[in-house]
Amino acid sequence: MAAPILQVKDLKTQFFTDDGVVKAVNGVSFDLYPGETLGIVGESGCGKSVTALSILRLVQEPGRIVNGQILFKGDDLLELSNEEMRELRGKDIAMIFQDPLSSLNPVLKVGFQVEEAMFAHDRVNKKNALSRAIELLKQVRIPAASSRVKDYPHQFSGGMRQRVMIAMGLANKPSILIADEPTTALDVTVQAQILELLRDLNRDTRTAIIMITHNMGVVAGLCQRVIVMYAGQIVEEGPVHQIFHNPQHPYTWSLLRSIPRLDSDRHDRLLSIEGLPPDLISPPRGCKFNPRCQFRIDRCLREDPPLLDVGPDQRAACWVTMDRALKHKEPAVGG
Amino acid sequence: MADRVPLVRVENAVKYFPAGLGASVKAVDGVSFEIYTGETLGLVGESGCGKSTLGRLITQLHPATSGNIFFEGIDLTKLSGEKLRQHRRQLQMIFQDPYSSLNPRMTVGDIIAEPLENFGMLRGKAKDKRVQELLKVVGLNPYFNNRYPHEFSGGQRQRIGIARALALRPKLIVSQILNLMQDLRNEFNLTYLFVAHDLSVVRHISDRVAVMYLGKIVEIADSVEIYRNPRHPYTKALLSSIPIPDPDIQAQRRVVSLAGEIPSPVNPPSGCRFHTRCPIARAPGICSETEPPLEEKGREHRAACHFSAEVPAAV
Amino acid sequence: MALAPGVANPQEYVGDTVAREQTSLWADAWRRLRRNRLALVATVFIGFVLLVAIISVFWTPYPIYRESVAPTYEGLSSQHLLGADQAGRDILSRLAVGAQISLEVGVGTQILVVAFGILVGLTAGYYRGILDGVISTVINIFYGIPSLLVALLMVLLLGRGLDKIIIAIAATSWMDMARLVRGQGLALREREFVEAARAGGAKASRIIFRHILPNALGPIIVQATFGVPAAILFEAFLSFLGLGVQPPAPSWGSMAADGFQALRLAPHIVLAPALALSLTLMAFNFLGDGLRDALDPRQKR
Repeated sequence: MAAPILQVKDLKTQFFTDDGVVKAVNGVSFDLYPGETLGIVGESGCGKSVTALSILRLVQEPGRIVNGQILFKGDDLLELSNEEMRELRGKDIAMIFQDPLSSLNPVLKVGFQVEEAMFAHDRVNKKNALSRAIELLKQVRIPAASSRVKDYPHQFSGGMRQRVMIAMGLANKPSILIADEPTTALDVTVQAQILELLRDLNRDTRTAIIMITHNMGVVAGLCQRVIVMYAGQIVEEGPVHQIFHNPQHPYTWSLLRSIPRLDSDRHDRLLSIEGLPPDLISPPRGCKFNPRCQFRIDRCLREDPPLLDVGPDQRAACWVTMDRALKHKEPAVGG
Repeated sequence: MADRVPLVRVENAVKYFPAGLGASVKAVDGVSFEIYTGETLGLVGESGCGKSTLGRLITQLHPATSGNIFFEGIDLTKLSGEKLRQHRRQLQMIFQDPYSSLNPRMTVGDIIAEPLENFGMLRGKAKDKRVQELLKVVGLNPYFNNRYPHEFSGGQRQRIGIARALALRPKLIVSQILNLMQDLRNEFNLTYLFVAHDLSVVRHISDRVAVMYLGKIVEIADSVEIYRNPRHPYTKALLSSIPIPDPDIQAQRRVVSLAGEIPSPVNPPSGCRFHTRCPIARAPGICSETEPPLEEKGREHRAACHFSAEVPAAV
Repeated sequence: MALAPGVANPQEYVGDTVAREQTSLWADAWRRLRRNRLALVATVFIGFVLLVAIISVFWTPYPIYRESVAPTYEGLSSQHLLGADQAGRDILSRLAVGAQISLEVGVGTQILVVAFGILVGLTAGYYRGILDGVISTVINIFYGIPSLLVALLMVLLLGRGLDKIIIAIAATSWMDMARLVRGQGLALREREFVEAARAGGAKASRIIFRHILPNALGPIIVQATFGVPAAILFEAFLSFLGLGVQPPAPSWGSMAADGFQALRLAPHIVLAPALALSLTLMAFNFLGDGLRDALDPRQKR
């Protein structure tokens, strides 16, 4: 396998609020390889968005990155000056958000905003800029792109705006595109189109994608590898097939069992994950998931389990799984 | 399951909202269907299709522009004032947004007790007891009745909203959320209209499913049937768009991509409203000229499509 | 699935874990207000002015109307801490009674403004339609007439008593409040909890007074707090022009006007009421700012 393009090492991001220190991201490490699609899933408040913002150093006060390294092509982004970081944002690593309307300037024409995204880094010939902007809008399959560059954001539908955001993200051919819940605000048929677009762009441009979502279906359709986060930590990580067919962390398992499936038998009981996500100011002792876990053993209440190999390329942080893996001398496989 | 007695019968319901300059948003534009006693009818469609407005028409939160809504044989659109208020008790709504649907200045106990007070049903100790019972029914600690909504999580707040809706012991519940529905159905003898955008959730809980597009019901059928054998191309597209949390299945599925965007409900397309985006439409032709009626395409299966035989079956 | 489902948990209440201990939103706002230093200092200052005003009802160092208790234009001295004015009256005593007048005007107008603004604003915002059209038109007409003109006319018509001044100022400043309440009513009536109340059989009066008004109270309080200094200033201005409370009643405005002729000779006659006025206005504005931050629902859902 090629060298990772992005390595996150022991990232800790905390928010210093009046009520205490919120440990939003608490020791997250992972690698991203060139051209791959990596999904980061979890409930709201699990730290997946803050992880993404940390990579681009866009965490707002009172949040601060307090520990870790973020190596992009070998350079630690946390060591860069603000100026160097600004250079890199949008050029090497681009990000798109859930709400494309608030990310676009309502009083500027869409074409101009796409051009601006290009000018921010490359010295593009002014004459070529417009045709390049149109080309980008065509690439994200906006119909009648050459006339729509003159339109304003409010004249676009939600799905079309998200396409514009993707076009702006791709303007400088970044090597990584971080998408934070890009389809959550969209209807399913539009979501399907955007996902298809992202899939094709990944295939054609080899841009690596980090897809942050709470929707397991979105991950299943788009990602090659999956990271499951809970309470600011990675609880499981592995290839998409293993995560879905052979989850090794009770949280992953519960997540999969809690969503109704279009192809499942009707009236199958859904297993909702009872209880609240943990208070990130004073999280529970031991495994952070233990208060909601139906498989917990004594050890879960005392010690925080490390993220260890449980299968080929698959890692999980769970004492129960580990116990069983040791007993059987090989990773548990089941269905 | 259901003994096929219609609890609600909607006849040609229409709701237009004024949109300035004499124009109007045709949110619901001629819809007829029944909800049978004891069943769960799922109502799906994408944002702006009119499903929420239809839910509000049935619960009489919005007056219909025209058409009739019969509840137990009584036409609610003919009632007003105190008479309407008395009948409306039987129809309650559970709202989707757990934040905006609870008054932040009232305690949970007061929120749940309010409907009881409105009808002078219970007073003093008996009222408090009933409130605590309702909290217990929805799985909340009955001694939290003095707390305020912001002290609860989103899921807990949804439960508070459910307790409020149950307080008047309604017969029909129009719900936008899945939470607890299955548990309460039998215990309270409820009939549901479940309004949602996610067909996988709707299918999971509903006996029958109705699909809306631009103010019209385009298909209505048994929920297993509609999934196996959709007879409207929009239903088909909707089904194919919903991601299934299984990478192997996802890899094999083909999404039916819809052309263009949902047209404006101010000026819906002529003929079949879906023809501008339909993969099998004859336009110009019958599809852009004649509106297809919602007609029988099989047992208990109605669809509004001129070429429903061409819609490929199974996902 | 790799993991077998465990033994079913005994039925537990989902609500046994509650997000965070808190009391009502009001208590929460109070907690936030206390953290705001400037607002706290302002509150203490307003409390001090109030205390002075109350004491002066019963006792002042010197009778406020008696002339020549000191030499005219006397400067600051141990007998007359703030000196005396052109008629030899004790300024400190008059300033203290002036605080009474200012607070009465400020609070009095706002009581009228709040009462009338809520009545008119909620009627327009909740019932909409023709009522709203009429009320909005009247509001706009009042905005169009210069407030000084309205106040002058009212004073001419009603006379110059304190109560009449209060009515006159309220008549020129109720529109902001009415418009604010109307906007709140329009927005809140579309909220889902109002729909839910209607579905639960609530009548209009209940919806207005239990659901809409309590949720509009925050902005109303903030607006009224900002309205107090505006009214005080307006009264001072009217008195400065000689159109406010009847002399020799010691309004801060008329005190400043009295001293104006001798500005060079005895600046303290102007400075004392001017300073008292400025500090009081500032205090109310800081308190208003603090209240806005504390009551702003956007900070917390």
